[in-house]
Formats: sequence, C-alpha cells, structure tokens
Amino acid sequence: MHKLLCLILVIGLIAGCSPAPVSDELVVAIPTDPDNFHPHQSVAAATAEIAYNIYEGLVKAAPDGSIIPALAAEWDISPDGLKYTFTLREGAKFHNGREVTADDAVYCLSRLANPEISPKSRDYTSVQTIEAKGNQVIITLTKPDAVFLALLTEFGASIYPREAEEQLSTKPIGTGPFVLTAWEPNNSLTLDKFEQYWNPQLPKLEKVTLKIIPEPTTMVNSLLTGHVDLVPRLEPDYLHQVEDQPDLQIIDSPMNLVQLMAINNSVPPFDDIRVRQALNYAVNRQEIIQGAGWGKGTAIGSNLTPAMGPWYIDLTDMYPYNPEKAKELLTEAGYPQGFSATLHLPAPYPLHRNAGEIIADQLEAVGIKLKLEVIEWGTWLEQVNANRDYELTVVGFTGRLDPHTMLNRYQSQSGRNISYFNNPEYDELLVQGLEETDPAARVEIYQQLQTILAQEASNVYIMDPSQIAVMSRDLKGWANYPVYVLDLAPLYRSK
Amino acid sequence: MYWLKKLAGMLATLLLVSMLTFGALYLIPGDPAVLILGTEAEPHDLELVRSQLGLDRPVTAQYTRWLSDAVHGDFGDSITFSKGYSVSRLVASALPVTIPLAVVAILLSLLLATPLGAFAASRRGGKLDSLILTLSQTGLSIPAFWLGILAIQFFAVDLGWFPPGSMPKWSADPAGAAVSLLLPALVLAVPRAAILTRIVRTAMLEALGEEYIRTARGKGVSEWVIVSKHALKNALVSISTVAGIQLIQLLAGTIVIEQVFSLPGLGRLILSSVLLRDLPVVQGAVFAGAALILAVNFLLDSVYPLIDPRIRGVA
Amino acid sequence: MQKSWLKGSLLVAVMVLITVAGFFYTPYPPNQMNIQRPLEPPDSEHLLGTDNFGRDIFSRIMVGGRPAFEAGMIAVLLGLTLGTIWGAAAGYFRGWLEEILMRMADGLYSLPSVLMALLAVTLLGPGQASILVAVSLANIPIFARLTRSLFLSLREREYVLAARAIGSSDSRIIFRHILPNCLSTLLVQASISFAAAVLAEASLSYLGLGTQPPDASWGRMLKEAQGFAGLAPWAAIFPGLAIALTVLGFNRLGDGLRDRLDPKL
Repeated sequence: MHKLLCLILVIGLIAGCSPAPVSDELVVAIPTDPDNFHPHQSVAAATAEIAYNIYEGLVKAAPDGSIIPALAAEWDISPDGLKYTFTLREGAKFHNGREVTADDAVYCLSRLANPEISPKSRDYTSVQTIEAKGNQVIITLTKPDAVFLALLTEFGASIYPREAEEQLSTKPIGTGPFVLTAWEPNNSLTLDKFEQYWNPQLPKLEKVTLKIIPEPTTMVNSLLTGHVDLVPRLEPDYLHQVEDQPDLQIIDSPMNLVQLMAINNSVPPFDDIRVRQALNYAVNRQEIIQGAGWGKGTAIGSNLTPAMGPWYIDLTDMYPYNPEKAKELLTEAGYPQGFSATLHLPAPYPLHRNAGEIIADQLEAVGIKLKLEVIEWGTWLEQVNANRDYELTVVGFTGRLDPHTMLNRYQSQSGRNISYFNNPEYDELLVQGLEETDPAARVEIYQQLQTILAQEASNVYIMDPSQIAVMSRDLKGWANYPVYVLDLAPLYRSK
Repeated sequence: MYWLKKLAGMLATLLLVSMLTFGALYLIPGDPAVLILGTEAEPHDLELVRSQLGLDRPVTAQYTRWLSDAVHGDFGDSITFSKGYSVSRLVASALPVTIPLAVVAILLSLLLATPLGAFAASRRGGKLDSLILTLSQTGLSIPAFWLGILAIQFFAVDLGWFPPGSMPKWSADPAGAAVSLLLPALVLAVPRAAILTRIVRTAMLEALGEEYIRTARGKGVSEWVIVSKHALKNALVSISTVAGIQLIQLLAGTIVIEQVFSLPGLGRLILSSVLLRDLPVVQGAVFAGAALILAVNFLLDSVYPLIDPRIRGVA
Repeated sequence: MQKSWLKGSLLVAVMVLITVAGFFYTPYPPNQMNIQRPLEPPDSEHLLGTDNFGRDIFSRIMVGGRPAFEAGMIAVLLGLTLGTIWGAAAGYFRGWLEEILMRMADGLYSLPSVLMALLAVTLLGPGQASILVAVSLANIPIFARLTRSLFLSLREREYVLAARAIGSSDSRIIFRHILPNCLSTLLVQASISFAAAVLAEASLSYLGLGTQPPDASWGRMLKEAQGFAGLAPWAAIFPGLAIALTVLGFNRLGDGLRDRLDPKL
C-alpha cells in the first residue's frame, strides 16, 4: 500500500513539475471540434473561428470592423455598384507551395455561388458573372448589393487550390498564416507556422495546439494550473475563478452578439403588443447583466449591438425597467392576474440559461409565471429555430460585419424569423437598404429598422455580452474582432 | 455447445441493442441537418444537407444499409465531424481512453480492496474490522462525480499534482496520458473498492471456515501464511467473478467521470454525439459499448459453471 | 454489527425528516434569488451559504431531496415487482423462455443507464419523468438476473426436488418453496437499489437530464456549483454531503437487514 501511494505521489509530482512551455508555442482551449474544413460545407461558427487562421479570401475583416486586403492587394467598385475588380497580391502561396492565381479565385467563388452544390449560395444570388483577367478577378452583379463585399470576408468565400477539393474537409489547404498539421477529433488540433505566408511578419508563433475541452470548469482549471495558455471565450459564470490571478490576464470586449428573449408574436397572448411591451417593462436588463454576465455586458434595445459602430442606434430608453407600467399594460390587455407561459432555454449556453432563470424570477413579480424548459441544442434548433414551435426563448444571434444580415431575419417571409415578426413597412425598408449605395442614407434606413423592431416590442432585447478572453500574462498581441474569429497570427510571448 | 449457444445469444443481444438504439434515435426530435445549419437555417439549405446525408430515405432502408455495412466492418461516417472521420476511427480513438481507465480503476480497486478485506476478515468482529466496514460503506455512498469535483479542486488545482482534466494522445505524450488517467481512475475505483472489500472479506471468512484451513492451523502454520496464502487463494475465484461484474458497472460509470474530467473516451463520445444528433456515431459508439459489456458478461457466464457445479449439470 | 441497522435507520430518518419538513417550511423560498449577494459563505443568516444567484442553499437542500427519494421509491417498486417476475419465470421454467427473457435482460443491462436516460429524455422531454423511466429500466434487469440466479441454485435443492417428486404444482413450488428463500436477498438488494437510484438520480441531474431549473435537486445543485468549487466550496460540498448521507443511510440499512436476515454473512 505504501509503495502504491508513494508511486502515485511521485508520478503526481512529476506531472506538477512539468517544464514551462517553450516561448514560441501556445496551447489554446476551445469547447468543440470544428465540423468540416471545406469552406462550402462547413456551417459551424466554431469552424470559421479557427479556419480564419488557415484560409483567406480576397478580403478580410479588421478588428475595427472595416474591410481590408487579404489575397487581393486592392479592389475597385464601379460607381453603379455592379462591377467589382480585385487585383491579386503578388507571390501569395497555398500551403501546398503553389502560387495563387485568379483562376483559383474564380473556381472557388463560382462553386460557392452555385445553388446545386453550396448550402451558402443564397447569400450570393446577386452574382451574375465571375471572371479572371490576368491577375484580376472581376465579379459582376445583377443589382447593387451593399452587403456583397462584407460577405467576401466570410469563411465560405475562402480561396483554396482546385486540386485539393476532395481533401479539404479534413486536410485544409489555404493561404493563411497557419497550416493544420494534425487533427484528433474530441482531443486536439495542431497548427504550425506557414513559412511562406505572404506577410513575412506573421505569424509570430511557431506552433499552436488547440485543445478540445467542452467543460468550462476544466478549461478554467487548466488555465489555473498552466496546462492551457489561452481561453478565447470564457463563460462569464467562471470569471471570478480567474480574477486576481498573478499569472493570468483577462481581456473583455464586446462580443457583438444580440442576446434576446425571443417572443413568438403569432401566438396569444403574445400577439397583443401590450403584452409584449409589458414583458419589456418587466425585465430588468441591468440585473441580468449583473447576475448572468457577472457585470460584463452592455444593455441593448434592438437587434443590433454597439459593436456595429455607426449602424447602431441606442434604444434602451424605450422600455426602462418599470414593473408598475408592465402590470398596467397587462391589465389593459385583459390579464390583470397575469398568465403562465413556457420559456425554452438552450442547455449548452449558461449565459442564456442563467438569463432565463433571472427573467422568470423578474416576471413573477408582475404575475407572469414562466415554466422553464432547458432543452438540448439539437432540440432547440429543431423545435424553436426550424419549426418555430415555442412561446418564449432566450438565445443569442451572432453579429456580422453588415447590419443587413443581422436585420433581414425579421423579414416577414424569412425562415429565420423565429419571432414571426410581420411588418410591411419593415420589409420594404429592407429592400431599400440593400439597393441603397449612399452610406449615410443606408445608416438612416438601418437605424429606422432597429427602431421599428423596438417600437413593436418584437422581442425583449437584453444585452451584448462581453467576450472574455483569459490568457497567461506573458501573451501579447491579442486582437478582438466584431465577427466570430480567433486571430492567432499576431500573438506572441514576452516577459 | 454451451459456449456456442452463449455466443449466439450474445450476438442476438447485440442485434437487439442495435435495433433498439436505431429505433429510439429515429424517434428523437432534432434533425441533424437542422443542427448542422444552426441559427441561419433556411428550408432550401436544409433539404440540400438532408439529401447529402441520405436522411431522406425511409428508416428501414437506413437500418438495413447500416447493418450490412456494419457486418463488413464499416460503421459509416460521422455527420458532425468531417467526412474523413469514420465512426470506427472515432470509436477506435475513444477506446484507448475508456478501456485503460476502466482496467486501471478495477486494478486499483482490487489493490485497495484485497488487503483491506483480507485484513478485516482476519480481525473479524474487532475494532479494525468494523472501521474497515464503515470506511467501505462510506466509500460506497459517495457519488463518484462529487468525489471527482472535489479531487480536481484539491489534487489538481490546489496542489497541482495532476492535470485538472482532458488528456493528450498516447502516441504524442504517453507519460502525460497515463498521468491524466490516474486521478479519474482513482475516483472511479473508490466505490468499486468499497464493494470489493466486503466481497473479499466475505469470501475470506468462508474460506477461513473450511476444513483444510483448520487442518493447517492445527499443524501450527502461521496466521499470516494461512490468510495470505491458503484462504486468499481460494477466495480469489469468487473475487474475480465479482470484479467482472464491477467492471461492467465501471464501464457505465465512466460516462459521468469522463464528463467530469473531460476525457475523450467512449462515454463522452456517446454523450456528445447524442446531443449533436450524430446518429452514425451514436449508433456505432453505443454498439461498441454494448459489445464491450456483453463480452465481459459472456466471460462471466462462461466462468459461472466452473465455480458452481450445480449449474453445469443442467446446461 | 447490530448498530449498523440502527445508524442507517437514523441517517435515513434525518434525511427523510429534512425533506418532509421542506414541504411545510424552508428558511427562505428555495427559488428566491438575491442577485446582489451571490456566493455568501455560511453564516447565521444563511446556514449553509448562498449559491451564484444568492439563493439559500439550506432551503434548496431541503427541497432538493424530493427527486432523489422519488427515484428510489419508484425504482425499487418497479424493479422489485417486474424484475422478480421476470427472473423467476426465466429461472424456474428455463428452456427457450429463459433464453429470450435473459437475452432481453442482458440487452437492457448492457445499455448504460445514462444512455437510457438520454433516450428517455429525448422522447419524454428533460425532467424527473425521464429519470424515473431510466432508473426503473435499469433496475428491472438487476432484479431479474438476481432472482434467476437464486432460482437456478434453489431449484436443484433437495427440498425443491422433494416437493416436485410428490407432485406439487409449479405455482406452489415457486411461491411456497423457492420465493420465500429469495426474499431476504431481494430485500437487501432493494435497499441497495434504493441507494443506487438516489445516486443515479443525482448523476443524471448532474448531467442536466433531470430536474429542471429553477427547481432544486441535489445533483443539479452540484452541477451548478462545480464552476465555483474553488471560490465557494460550500456550494459544492453540502449538496454532495446530502447525497452521500442519504445513500450511506440506505446502504447501512441494507447491511443491517442482511445481518439480521442472513447471519452467516
């Protein structure tokens, strides 16, 4: 027995004393495996987040939300907004060593826009032709499309070598700063520096290991014990565990995620705007930010976040916390005693689950009794998102570069319109927004759209939560983006 | 004949399990296509993805197709993981986590239980006997996941002796992988050791009461030799049977412990693929799990007649 | 070892008392939040401290035992009755019936209870009902296999052979000669099964498949507390202690029963 205990102790001590990681390597914890590294087949946000380091498109997003050159060194848009001319960067290479040509770009983008093959084609219906001319790629549209350039920054629009088509799903070949050298599902991914990256300054690290750790508790414990150097997205619940740690730094920044309690506007009693307004008055957003976000997060009043810069309009004053007003409205609507309803909460998202529990507590004060049902993500997606068979739910909509893709889900016929929001004026403005080429006029339109959503009390918009990145103190160069990516290239270690 | 019949029975059970899971999974709400497309799903994309996955065919056709492929060793491809990752590969990568975990746990529990139980038996009715029995009852009553949570906090986070969860690949870092399995194996072993201690004690008491032991004692053989050599040797047969049953319990227990420690084993593969509606993986992983348990069962059934001659005569 | 029985009963009585009292009185409403004061350590105001939403942990422990006790009772009731009939039929009549029944029992037995709960959850929705289905289904084969093995060894005993020789009917042999001799073993298994069902309910609730928020169950409280184990150990320790004490109580009760009914062990 003593021998066994000694053995365990010794092994344990060796494990505890394992040498500190070398300075040009990094271990990152992520919660799930990527789904598929083929840009046209992948649909998971978690994949796009990582693929950002492996693939590139013609253009890409900058941390401030602007669009900057990637494989295209420069581009030109004709005054009528119909013709886009991209000039390729000289000497950019794929991971297989071959130089990138305009033909590669034509091949990839044509395939992306083909509705027969690509599930993402619906975003590219305005594309008429894609042609190569020397080192230029020329795309012609059937009508002006203000969102088009922003779409080209997304993972789907990545450029890859045609000859690698068949292997991409597990062995991606792109032009990004890192090469995927190993992928053990449910375990880890290994990224190595791409020595021939077109920007010789990047990446700064030699090797990045992405560990798959689904449980946030394990993530936090791995950080605390030095087995992981970086957790890019920590659930706010776990913030207190890592605060005041001498070896760790916490960087929080807006996530550009619209967290809301979605209301099914088509079923009674929620088809009555007074009931929806009552919900808005009865929910105390600050308390949710306090209780579910541990104080991190920004209250919002419509379906866009402050991270969207000029597009955003602050509507949080429209429904200040006022339970008395909520009760009045409920009485007016014929529910002086309140009513009961079911609130569906997605199990894997503590932030939404916790917010739901707090909302239930708050609504009870005005007589609305919520039955909470925590359901698996698969059930949520099918029942709530696809079949729209629900009353209330708390969820988050991921921010995009352009407001249109965020707001067009409330178009009355949209399959993504889980609120059954139906407003002809709104539908008309959406069409105008897409065709308008004057930036100032576009801003006007999208602010108007947000205002309609708030006036109609379409949903209870809660907050833009904070993205909380926790990393070891010697890690520098972290950049935060308003889109869902993890940029590993600029990261480096220094004492 | 006896073994052939048992083997046939086992295969029949496996077939039943595969049908049961296939049927149950088919009834589960949650369309994989919906899951794949997420919050951005539109009807057109859904149909495209569904037909790409072959989900538009009737369930019986899906099942017979699966079965005939399975017989040839092909359990299909994962839906959520990329196409190149076949179910057999995923299961194969999970087994080197779950099997060593279960085996180390059962060995640890035997290592703990045998001396404790033998010692308790030799001091029957004494203070140490009742102390060991109390300990064993306590060990049996502690929820393993609770013990896991506390053990991680204390041994991994506070003391830093073990990694706090997750596990490197064997080929990449064998020492690291072994160390990652120690704490969860120990946690899994505690309740099993608690049960085994009592089994060992009982078996030893029975053996100690036998004729030949009394003879040995009469001959003046030392108590230590009697307990450790004669009685223990005879008790081992029944101990190994019970250890087999404990191994089955343990395999089921790994599902929760793998979750607590974030280990990429079979249990977590099943749980995560059920939640992701990755039917081919669920089907294959459950099949592998059931096959594992049935194999242990089969071995036990084969051992029974050797131990209790009364059954052999009838079979 | 007589004291084991007493101590077990005492532990069970205390946990039952706390749970029953929870129906009539709790220091605070168990679901009432106080977001301004989360994770307070135990003091005179909150006997066992508060959780991440500022809810009183003692009040939640008082009501959090209900699902566990419910699971124990249903699992034993269904497992004992259905499992015994199942196993008795297989062990007594043998032949093809035994083959079919035991194959089915083995099939049920080889499906991990967690997976069974997952399947139940997806069919019935998450919650206590699914847990009850899962723990009952898990216990039926256990009792069936136990009863069958008891029958296998008892049916060849001299007194059974004698009864058969004088032409006693099957039902008379089963109910008068064999079953009474199984009873003590089955009773001991029942108390062990009760303890195991309490553990199973806790594990499944821990995985999020059982009692749904905001309602409390010991396993769920542990899940919620896991993230704060370092920061607020009381939130992780007390619900676990409640589970352990209850299970310990039933296990000791079972032991005590075994000692009284079967002094040989």
